[in-house]
Amino acid sequence: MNSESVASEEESLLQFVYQFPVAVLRMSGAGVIDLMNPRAVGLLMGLGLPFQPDQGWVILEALDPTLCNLVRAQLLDPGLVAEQRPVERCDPQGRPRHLALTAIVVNADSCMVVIEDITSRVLQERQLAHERQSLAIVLEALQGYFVLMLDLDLRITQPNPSIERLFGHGATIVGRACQELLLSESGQPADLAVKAEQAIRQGWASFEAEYRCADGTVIWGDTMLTTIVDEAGAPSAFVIVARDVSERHRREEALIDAALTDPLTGVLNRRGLAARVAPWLEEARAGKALKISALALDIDFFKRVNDRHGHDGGDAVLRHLGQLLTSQFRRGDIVARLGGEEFVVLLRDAPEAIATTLAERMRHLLEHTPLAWKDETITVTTSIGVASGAGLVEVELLLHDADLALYRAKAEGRNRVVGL
Amino acid sequence: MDFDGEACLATLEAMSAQALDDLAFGVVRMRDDGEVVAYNAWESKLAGLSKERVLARNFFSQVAPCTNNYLVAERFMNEPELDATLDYIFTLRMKPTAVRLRLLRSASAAHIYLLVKR
Repeated sequence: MNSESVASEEESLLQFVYQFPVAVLRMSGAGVIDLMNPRAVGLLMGLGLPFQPDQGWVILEALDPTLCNLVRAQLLDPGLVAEQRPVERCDPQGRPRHLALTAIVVNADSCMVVIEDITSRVLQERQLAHERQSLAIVLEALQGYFVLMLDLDLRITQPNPSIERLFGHGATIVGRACQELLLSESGQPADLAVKAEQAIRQGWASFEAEYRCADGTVIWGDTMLTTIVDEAGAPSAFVIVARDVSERHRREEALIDAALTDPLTGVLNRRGLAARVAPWLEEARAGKALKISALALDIDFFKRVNDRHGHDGGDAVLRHLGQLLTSQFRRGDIVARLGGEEFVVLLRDAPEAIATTLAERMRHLLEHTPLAWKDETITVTTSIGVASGAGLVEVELLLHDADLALYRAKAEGRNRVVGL
Repeated sequence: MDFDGEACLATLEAMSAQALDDLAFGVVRMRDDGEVVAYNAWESKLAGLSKERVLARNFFSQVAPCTNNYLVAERFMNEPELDATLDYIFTLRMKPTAVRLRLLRSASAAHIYLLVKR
């Protein structure tokens, strides 16, 4: 290597060091600074601190008295003294500057000090902390609303007071897929990914969804899903802001329930049966193989009950049967009172043999569960007709078949189950 | 001419780059935004930087960041008429070196000048 290229390399190195954005200086044990970069001079002068080369200890003392003592104490014990020690100093104009100091003792006669001006970073962090705090206060104060922060994979990224208050979910919710919290109107999980695509396209998507709480209860949320974009405008996160509309939903459901329920017995009325069976028929029409069984029940000699115990007694018997039916059949089954002493149970995916067994069990139960009413005991029996149909698209035919079977049960002596 | 001379700015403006090289102190001739137009031999030798590495660069941010503060760069930016002398430390080849600076700027001159004397 010739001397010219050595000089050129040295010059390149010098230029690199001159432009180094962090202040670096080296001083002897006696406090004489033998090397320092331009940034060090600029920073010390900018702070109004001494910067004369023989004043190393004075400079360090003025920057950070504690660090100065630590370095002195460690002069005989080479190594890292402190790393990125935060220090705050005011410049001559009174503006606070935030510094991070690193000191290394190389040997008893040489130590290095690195000074970084981290003012803008500290101010940014403070601004951020301030905004976080404001947001937390807003979230705390927003009664009836909740906020979920999501990443692009729709996982929850932060806990917040609104989630904790409404859902009872603490910090453990962080990292979980938001989808897990969601149910849609039909009880199927709402497809959040579809909503997210919409939110990316138009900036937001709004929908109503049910959210599962930690204790298993459900909150209805009038939901706004908004996309957050980065500096380049690309989606980087989502925020859900939702209003708790559970109360409105409960009122609506109560109204619907009232319209579809028989007020005397609490089971469905004729409209309720039609409403509940409609989705089954929908599935059948869509080609799903579906077997529905119908049980038609009619209380034997009900007129005698009315004659002997009055209408109050008759009503009590109807309530009694309603309760037994509700207790015996699954939530997914349809129990309805069609009028008078006539009840119907519709079973989904139950073959006729099982339907008949269930009917027999019901008949037996009613016969052996007398009703204590006033000072008396009323025992009634029921006749049950059973019919099954596959590939049904209308329920009327099935009910008609069950009625025929019921008619036969009555004709054959009552208190019995007859299949068609 | 010398470092402390009167009517220094007008004299410097009239000098060619070669003439600046003959001076016994450092001279940095810049546009008013800090872009280096001339960098004389004395300054080049002291700083260890050849002219080619310095010319057309911004002096305060790219060549001598130690001057990028309120004592030097900001005074040039803020004071249309400036003739100030101050004691300073340059880290020439990383060695802290006491220098005397003279800052020159005037509406009547096309360039601004930083003079450096050991």
